[in-house]
Amino acid sequence: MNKINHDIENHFNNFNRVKYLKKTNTVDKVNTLRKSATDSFKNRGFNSEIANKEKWKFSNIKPIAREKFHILSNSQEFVPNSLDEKIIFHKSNSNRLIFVDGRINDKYSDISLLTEKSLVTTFTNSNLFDKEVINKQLGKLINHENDIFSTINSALLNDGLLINIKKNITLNTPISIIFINTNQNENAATFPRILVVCEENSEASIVEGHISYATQSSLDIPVIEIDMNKNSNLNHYKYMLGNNSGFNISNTVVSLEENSDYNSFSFSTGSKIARNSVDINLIGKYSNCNLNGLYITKDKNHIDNHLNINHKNTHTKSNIFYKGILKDSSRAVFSGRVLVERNAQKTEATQSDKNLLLSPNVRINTKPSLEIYADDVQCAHGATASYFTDEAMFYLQSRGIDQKTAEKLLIEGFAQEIFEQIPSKLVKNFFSEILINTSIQY
Amino acid sequence: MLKIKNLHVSIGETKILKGLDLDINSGEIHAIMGPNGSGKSTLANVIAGKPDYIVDEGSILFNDIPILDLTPDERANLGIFLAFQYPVELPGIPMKQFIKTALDSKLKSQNIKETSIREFNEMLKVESENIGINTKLIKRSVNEGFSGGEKKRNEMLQMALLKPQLSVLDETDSGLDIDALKTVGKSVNKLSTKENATLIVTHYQRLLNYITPTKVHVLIDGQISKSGGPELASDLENKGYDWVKSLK
Repeated sequence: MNKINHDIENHFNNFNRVKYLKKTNTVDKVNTLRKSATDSFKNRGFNSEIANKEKWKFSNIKPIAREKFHILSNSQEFVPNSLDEKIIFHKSNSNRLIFVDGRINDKYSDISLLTEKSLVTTFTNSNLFDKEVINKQLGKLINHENDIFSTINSALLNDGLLINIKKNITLNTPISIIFINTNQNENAATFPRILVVCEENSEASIVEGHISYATQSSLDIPVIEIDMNKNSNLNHYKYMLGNNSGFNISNTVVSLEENSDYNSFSFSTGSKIARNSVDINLIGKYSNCNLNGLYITKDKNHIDNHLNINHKNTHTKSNIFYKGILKDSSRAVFSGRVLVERNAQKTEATQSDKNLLLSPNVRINTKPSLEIYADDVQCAHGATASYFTDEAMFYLQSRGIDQKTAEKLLIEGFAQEIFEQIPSKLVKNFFSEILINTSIQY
Repeated sequence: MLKIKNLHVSIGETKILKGLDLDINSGEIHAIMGPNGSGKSTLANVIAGKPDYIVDEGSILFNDIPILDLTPDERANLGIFLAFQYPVELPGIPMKQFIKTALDSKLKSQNIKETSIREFNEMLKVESENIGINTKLIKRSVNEGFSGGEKKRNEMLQMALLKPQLSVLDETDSGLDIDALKTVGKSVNKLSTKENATLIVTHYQRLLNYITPTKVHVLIDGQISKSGGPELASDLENKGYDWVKSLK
């Protein structure tokens, strides 16, 4: 067994090459962030993270610490297969940016509409105005001392994406950003980074996709920072289609100012180890977040949804509604922590996690928790895990429907309740089709 | 069509049916009546293939095919339909998808091409109107939030669309108002032909005001204690089950 790596240059091959690229990066903040994150990694390594038993209670990150990963230095040619037609090039993804192995793919990306309005740019192609936004905002919501994976992302940041929804803009078509790890080399690693700034009174939707074709070990560490200003509204749809051999450790950090609304929907299939960390700070009064999620796991896959919501002001609302479908020997972890600070009176918070178990060999650890320091609040939480009821199965079969089809109907029915939370019909159809077209479920 | 011989059935350690014999021919309507706990619902469920029961002895032939080793869906596709005493709510499964899947399964088992969505919608519309199901219910998930009467009407709708050869009605009349009861009666009468048969399992005689059975059987303590014509149902209504018990 390899020793745990403490040196980021040693841990990630081709580091020098990326360091070279860094020098050409024209955004000052990218350079300073990289340097401070690299120093931070050197100081702490993986040890302090592994030592945080509460944070990683049910997900083992030691295999990531022990492996050596490669940063891909060549752009791989991307040849879409028939499945990609359904999981990437859907109507809902008409404004799309596709990243293949960490690099933007010009051939299949199409955001002419958005660049025209200068809503979306890569850091490399950013204009002076965008650079100012990146310099001011990038890394603002991330604390490198708290999380080694966002530290790695910052340290190895090559090019990121800025989505800046300008003041008073309402965008009807979602902006889709799809990251594909083609895993042409063993232990290929990518570090996607997105900075989203929603200015006052803006409204937009983002589809964020992560697809891994890894047949051997791979590592994806995406970070998305979302800064929502007064009266802004964002629908954030995320899907992670993993596999048996990849690691996907993702961080989403959201900060909400007064009267802003953040609605997220997360759909994931699990990986060898998949972690979906979401940190929400309800800073302004009347800010509101809705976190919905569906996870469907099979084989020995593992998904860990780790949600943190901090109510920091009065009249803030949060709602967590996750559902899981577990098959074979897969494992899911749900940890939802809602913190209501002393001055966050009139807070409303609910959280629920429901699981459908399809095999006696699956394992679910679900832990919704509330930490309340204010006295005038309404909070509720709950979690369930159950098998199909025999009654439901018999009812379907008594109508001539065979067991396999009946299971399929029951699974889709179970998932439907989550899909109903998706406000966009286009995206709802897209996610339903992913559910049907990927072989993850039956 | 249906031949039950010396049927012994138990749940866990409890013996429920203790040597039941029943013959139903095409074109007949049979009513099985009996007090609570006599094994009426067990009989209905065992015919449909509910897995909770253990058949200790005996046989069931449907059109000369032994069905006890068949799964519930295989029995359904041979033409057996069970109208549930307590129809199950299936959240997230739309009514249309459920009924169409059932219909297509049956057609598939007979190697017949499935109905087009247009044809299906038309059939569904006609039968829903016949049975008096609100079209709003058709847009919902199966039985979810339906009233007791609506659930039973939904059973009749499925029966009408699936056109089974043998319909088994398990206490379909329980908890129904007069209008719903009439609908059930009408549905059964409408479906009855020389080619098919119906088995009505009931505690009360009142459904038989709308359906005239060929034969009435009284089930007591897991065995048929008495059989007769339609007049037996009214005798029971007047004299009660103790009367049959006293004849034993």
